[in-house]
Amino acid sequence: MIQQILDGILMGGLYVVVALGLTSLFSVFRVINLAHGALIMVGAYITFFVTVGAGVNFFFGMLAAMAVTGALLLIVERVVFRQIEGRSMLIQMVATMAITMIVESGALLLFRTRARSISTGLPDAPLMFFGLDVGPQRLLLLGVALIVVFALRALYKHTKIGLATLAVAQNREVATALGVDPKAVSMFNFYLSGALAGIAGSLLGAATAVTPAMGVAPLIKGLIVIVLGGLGSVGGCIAGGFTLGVLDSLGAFIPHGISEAVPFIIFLIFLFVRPTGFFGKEI
Amino acid sequence: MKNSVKKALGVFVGLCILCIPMAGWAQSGNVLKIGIVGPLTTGAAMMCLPGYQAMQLQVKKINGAGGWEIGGKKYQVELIAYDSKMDPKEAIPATKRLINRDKVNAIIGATGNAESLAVAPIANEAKIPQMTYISPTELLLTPQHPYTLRATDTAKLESWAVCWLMAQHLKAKTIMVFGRNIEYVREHGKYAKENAARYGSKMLGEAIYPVDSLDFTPQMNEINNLNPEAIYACVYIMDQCIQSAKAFVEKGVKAKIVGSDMWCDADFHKASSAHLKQLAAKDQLYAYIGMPIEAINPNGPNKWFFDEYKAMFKEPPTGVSLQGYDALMLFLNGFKAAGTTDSQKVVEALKTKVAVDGLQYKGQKFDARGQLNVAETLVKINPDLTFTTLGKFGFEDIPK
Repeated sequence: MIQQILDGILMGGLYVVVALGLTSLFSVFRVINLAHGALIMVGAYITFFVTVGAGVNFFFGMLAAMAVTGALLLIVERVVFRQIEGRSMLIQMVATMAITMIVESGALLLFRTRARSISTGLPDAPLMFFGLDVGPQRLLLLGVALIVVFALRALYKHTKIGLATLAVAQNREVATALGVDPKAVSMFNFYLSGALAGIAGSLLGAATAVTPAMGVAPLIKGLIVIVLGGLGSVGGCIAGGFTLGVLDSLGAFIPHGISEAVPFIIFLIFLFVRPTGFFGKEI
Repeated sequence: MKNSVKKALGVFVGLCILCIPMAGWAQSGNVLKIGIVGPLTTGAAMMCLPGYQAMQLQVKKINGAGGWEIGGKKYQVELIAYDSKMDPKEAIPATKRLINRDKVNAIIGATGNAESLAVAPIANEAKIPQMTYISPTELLLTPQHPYTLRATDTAKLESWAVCWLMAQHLKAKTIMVFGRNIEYVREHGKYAKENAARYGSKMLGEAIYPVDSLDFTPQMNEINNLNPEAIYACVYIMDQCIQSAKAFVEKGVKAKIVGSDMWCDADFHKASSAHLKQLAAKDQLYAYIGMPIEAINPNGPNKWFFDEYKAMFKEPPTGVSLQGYDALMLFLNGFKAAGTTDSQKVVEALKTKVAVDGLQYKGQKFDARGQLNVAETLVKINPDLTFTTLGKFGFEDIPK
């Protein structure tokens, strides 16, 4: 049981990063970007080609993934989101779903059906602590998640663009009247969200495998996390991510078939009983 | 403006008129239409797309050489493929479209068990020969499906072969099944439980991961807790094989691992070489494959196919490519042996006259139910990722 909880917390790091990417857009623009999974997939492929193709260190691969997926979402912001700004959430969701289909189909054409594997360069063998095993690859998930959380915290508290983002999130009109450029804030946050998808893609690719369809499962996990934690709440993403990781892990104790439904049952319970999630606002 | 619209319309109508005789000419030739139903997109595409590509390669060669002879007439072979996304809800309308609109002479597919079971009644009602080269369920070949054939192994044969390997070669007294929470794996679990007892092994349990799982560590913990001597890794989709190999190594699983066909795939070996080499170095890695191991050797007897496939599709073929090629050739030889496109005569010819002359097998025949007499090859995967064949296990080896 303790081993399962520990493994769940480590895996939860990945869910935190996925959810932070989703929530960074929602908290400011009220956009649920269903193309986030496709961006995660693109991030994984970039990491693969940089690390395996060019033989560069995994962490440089992750930086390259961040740069590309950030830029990609920035293009999507200019081409798609500016056209549908202010439209209903349904239209935004359909538009982002269309982007997902285009990106996934393109990936299937380019990379075919073959799965790829990314190596982090870290040792594979587990380390033993008090009878519990901790894999270096899993520690990486938690480590990167913590770095991302602290970096975001610093960004939002101590930088001009971070403070401007918080101002726009609270009241766009007042922030604009006070001299905040909403377009710059928009571009920055779209880039940030894309870059977070790139990080998630690198981590997920290293933990699992790289395929054109790999973005669907993390997107669903990410959506569950932001509902558990509370839409738009960074703290909620952290709490929700680790909770989902542990729930997934403890699912091994539940008979097959039911275990798969557990996160969704909890998701529904939260929707009905506590729609604000752990820390968020009402959906 | 009006004039330009008129001009454009005139050109369009003119083109349409020109096309009418061309369309008539195209339809007047002899065309043998083969329909394909299976996942061509999504993660499951690797269970069908490589097979479809192999068929495209062969059809291009046949048509380039003037067509396929049936009853003294040359037929151009046309492949019509629809993407089922491994979903019966997609496979059913696709099959109806192939039969009613495209008027196909035969159907190759579907891929998944649920899909194939959904497609079979439709094909049989329309009396269209249907052949699957992937779906292993025992429920497919029944008296209600006389037009259905299977050119591959079955879950029952695979399971008997694996249990025999684990008991006889690996001397494992305790075993477990590891795989995804789908019908195919559950079927294997059920057979493994029955078969292990026949060979004196004990099935400790199943470590089953959810369909959308990103993390196999809970199942690895389960395996480590029960500590079996051998694990049947009923994992056959490449990304999950990669993830499994990582998880086995990262969680320090000590049991011997018997993988499915995909565990013999050259691309999987390339992608996961570091993890597979670690497992093989500890004498932990075994597999079964539903064809002779020489068939998948890029420098073996099928070198020409590997070279031509790679030249056409810019990627190497998989075992599924070989299976797809063989399924197409079985059908074409069935039409040739029947000397007609009459579906009943084609099925009769396939069940009585045709012996496979393909990339995987040579000389095997279908039985009266429509099952091709294939065998599992059991292999040990060496630390350099070469194979040592341990034995073969066919339908005749299943204990009565």
